[in-house]
Amino acid sequence: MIRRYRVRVDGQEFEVEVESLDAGVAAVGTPAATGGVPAAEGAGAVSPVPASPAPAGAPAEAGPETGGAVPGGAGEEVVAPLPGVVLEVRAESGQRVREGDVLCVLEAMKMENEITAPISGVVARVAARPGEAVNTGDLLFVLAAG
Amino acid sequence: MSGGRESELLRRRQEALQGGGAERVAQQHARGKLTARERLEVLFDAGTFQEIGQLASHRGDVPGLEGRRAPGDGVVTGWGRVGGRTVFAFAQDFTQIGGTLGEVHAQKIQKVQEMALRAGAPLVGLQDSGGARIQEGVAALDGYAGIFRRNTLASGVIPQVSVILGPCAGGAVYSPALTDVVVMVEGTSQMFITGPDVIRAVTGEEITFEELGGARAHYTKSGVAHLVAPDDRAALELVRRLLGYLPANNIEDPPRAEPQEPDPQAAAGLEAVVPEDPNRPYDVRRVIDGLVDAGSWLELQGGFAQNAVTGLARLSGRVVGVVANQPRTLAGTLDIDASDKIARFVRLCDAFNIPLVTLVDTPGYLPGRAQEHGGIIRHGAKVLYAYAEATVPKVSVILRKAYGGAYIAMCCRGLGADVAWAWPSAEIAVMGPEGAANIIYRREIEAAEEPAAERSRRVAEYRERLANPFVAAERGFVDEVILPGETRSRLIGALEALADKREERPARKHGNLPV
Repeated sequence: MIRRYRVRVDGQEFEVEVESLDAGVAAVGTPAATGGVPAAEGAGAVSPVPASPAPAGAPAEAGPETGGAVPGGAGEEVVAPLPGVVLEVRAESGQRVREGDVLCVLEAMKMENEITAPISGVVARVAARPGEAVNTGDLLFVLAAG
Repeated sequence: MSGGRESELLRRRQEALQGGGAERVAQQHARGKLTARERLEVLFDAGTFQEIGQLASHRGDVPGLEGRRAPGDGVVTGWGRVGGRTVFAFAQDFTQIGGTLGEVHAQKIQKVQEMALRAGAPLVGLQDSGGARIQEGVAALDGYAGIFRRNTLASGVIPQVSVILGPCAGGAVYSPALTDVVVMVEGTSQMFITGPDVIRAVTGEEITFEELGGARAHYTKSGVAHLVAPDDRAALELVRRLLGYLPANNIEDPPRAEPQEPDPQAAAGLEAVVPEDPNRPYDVRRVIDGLVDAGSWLELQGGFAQNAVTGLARLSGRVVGVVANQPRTLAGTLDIDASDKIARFVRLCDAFNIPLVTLVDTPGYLPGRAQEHGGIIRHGAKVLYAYAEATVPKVSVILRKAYGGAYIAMCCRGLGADVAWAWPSAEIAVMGPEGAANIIYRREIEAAEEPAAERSRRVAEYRERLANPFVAAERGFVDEVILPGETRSRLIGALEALADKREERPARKHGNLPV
């Protein structure tokens, strides 16, 4: 279960995802600055705080969304371009993808919208889960360039 | 008697042709850029460029510029031919005082703007400038103002094209912004109002010139750039191609070309492009490819608001402007950016007598707070305004979905389409079957023993009875239901029939376009 919080630090707003794990340890997902960054533009948004790696000792099967941590926060975020329901997730963590590859299918506006990789690289994190309703700007994937 | 003068003239000419001198020219080349004169050679047909104002120079008394000779004052102006047709141009010379804009530099640009307008010929501005010449103070600002005013007065009379081939910063960006088409070069051109240094000082944000105002940023995010090219030469070749679609002025018709068949593979595939499942996306450019003359498609603003597609093409040699929804991006919805893109393109076509072909497949407007608070009402209104205002021939083809307000906006008959057609796959209704069935048959669905089964039965019933092209055709809102394979020949026939269309409007100062 992932919960989203909005945190304000020194006047700057962060969107934080907190996931409760079996051991009761909270892993903090990649924060995305929300202040001033238009939601629709989320891809490539710079995260001012590096993502914390999953804490050591976290259960291995913590769920598909806890992919590899983004090294130094330098990842390309793929966000939902419009509100809808994740129909199908086609990319998994660690998978190498090429620009234009379909990462997931988002049913929205009665259309099976193919969400494609904006860059070539490796899937660092899978946040999209089948059946989950997402809003414009919600994180679906993080890609590490290369 | 005049031997001394003649030799001085030759000496001055020779000096002007050197631009900022060998060293600066070498620097320009090292950046991967051509000089102003080299660019004009690429733009114009060989040997046709005629310069004016070669000997113009800044007043020698400007503090900081005393004794610095600058024949031409950092800009080359004149006219020549592009594909045999007269075109006026100015090219800022970055090698000479950084291509900065002072009083005389501005006067030269304004002069060629006025000549182009009087001659009724296109104007191409090649921008490569360090901005306002600070030493000349308010005279430089006044120079920009005069250029912007002339850009505005020429708007809709002659085509104006701006090519950004270097820095274009601060107020200088507004001359290109006032023109019809902006072309940028990847890696060497930048446009911004306030640069990275100011942004860092004010907001603390670190951003590079290229990220902030490079060709990619303006092609994909801001929508400022209509076309991008890998280098100067390719950018100027693109301008030559673009001018081939545009008339010299608003009185002329666009130039016709030899009719070409469409790409045979694309034409053969036309029947199968639109998936039977209305929830399946596809690339609407495959429909365009199947309809237009092979090789004639020139997409404008292709990287921006990709949920709408706009571009110029030819149908049996005749220039048309194509507007289409793109189902594979944002489900083909209309949003703020797509509305701006469509409205601006429709007005370009209307100004220059280019008939409009609109290909419709949209589920409606993009929902969301960002859209509503961002002003989708104001921006969406531009599309209605532009289509209703346009007097060029307008033909619409509904490929699949045409729902609600978006049906109206995409140039339906009631808004002013001269001809409206629908493919058999069309679903024309106030809303999609699912939403509509939930409202119309709410009681029946609630009362049913198995509401889910009842709902899907009612959805199917709605689709069968209302969401099809035949209801619209029976009432005359659609003139004919046509097959994909017939569409090209039908379009060619309609545009032929409408070629001499005249639509008079009451005289007025100007309309009040919602912005």
